[in-house]
Amino acid sequence: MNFLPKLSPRNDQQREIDAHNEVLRYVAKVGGQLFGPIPKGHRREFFNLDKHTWVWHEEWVDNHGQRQAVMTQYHIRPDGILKSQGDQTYRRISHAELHNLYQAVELYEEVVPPALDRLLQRV
Amino acid sequence: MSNTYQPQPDYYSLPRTGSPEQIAVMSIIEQTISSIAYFRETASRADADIEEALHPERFPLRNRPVQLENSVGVSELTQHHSDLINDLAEARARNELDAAGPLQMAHVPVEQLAAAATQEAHQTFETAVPPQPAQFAAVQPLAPMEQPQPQPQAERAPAPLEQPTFFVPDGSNHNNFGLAA
Repeated sequence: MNFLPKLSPRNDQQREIDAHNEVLRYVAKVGGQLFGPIPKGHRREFFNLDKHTWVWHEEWVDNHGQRQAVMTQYHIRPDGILKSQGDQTYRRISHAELHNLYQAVELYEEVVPPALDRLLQRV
Repeated sequence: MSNTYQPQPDYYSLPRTGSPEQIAVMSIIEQTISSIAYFRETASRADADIEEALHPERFPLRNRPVQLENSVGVSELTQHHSDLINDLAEARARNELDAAGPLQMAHVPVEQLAAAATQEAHQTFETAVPPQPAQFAAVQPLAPMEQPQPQPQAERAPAPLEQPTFFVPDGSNHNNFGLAA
């Protein structure tokens, strides 16, 4: 019986980690739908990973039947917003892109927290 | 900004209690709200910086020459010295001052005073520029967000973020919480 006090907290912690990842996947899916219907064969996710990182992931099958994927990360730094795509280089985003991203985050704010609120009432 | 989300107060005022799943959801709500606020603050600042670089004429105050300690600008300082020189010259013409005294100031070229003041202003500008982190030294400008996204021609997605439209989930997908995704 001595293992129970050790095992239970670890199980709770693991449950929270699993739930956290699952909620993130749910949020990513909801975020991916902010920009309109997703074309058939596409998978689009847009979500806030942490305070400094927003992620946009898109997958699709090209004309040759090959699966393609692009992951774009926006890094929120005190001195500005930087972007990386696959490679390890960081680039400062343009004015137009900043404007678009701002709109996306505003939409995100309108949709995602209320969706999480509803989720919270049911778990 | 319309429909700004107002978080439930108990997310912040009470310790997190509940099942691990509830705690996970509350944690992500809190993180989301905090991240959005941080993004908005940073984006607003970056937006002003970009606007200023593109349209410096819209930021007359931010581009105004640095003021010296006595609150006199470079051009005003130059004018101040010109006036002083003129006053002294007039005083000498009236024999009101000793020729060996302050009249020597009249021999200091106005341009030299202005150059010194300008150099001081530039030095102040340089020290006011925050240093770039070394890891971001090679930052290059990039095309707008919608362009780098490679899309197949046949099934091209709507230009992402170009005209974002709210999409109502159809409830066809479910996650393990039993809720529509």
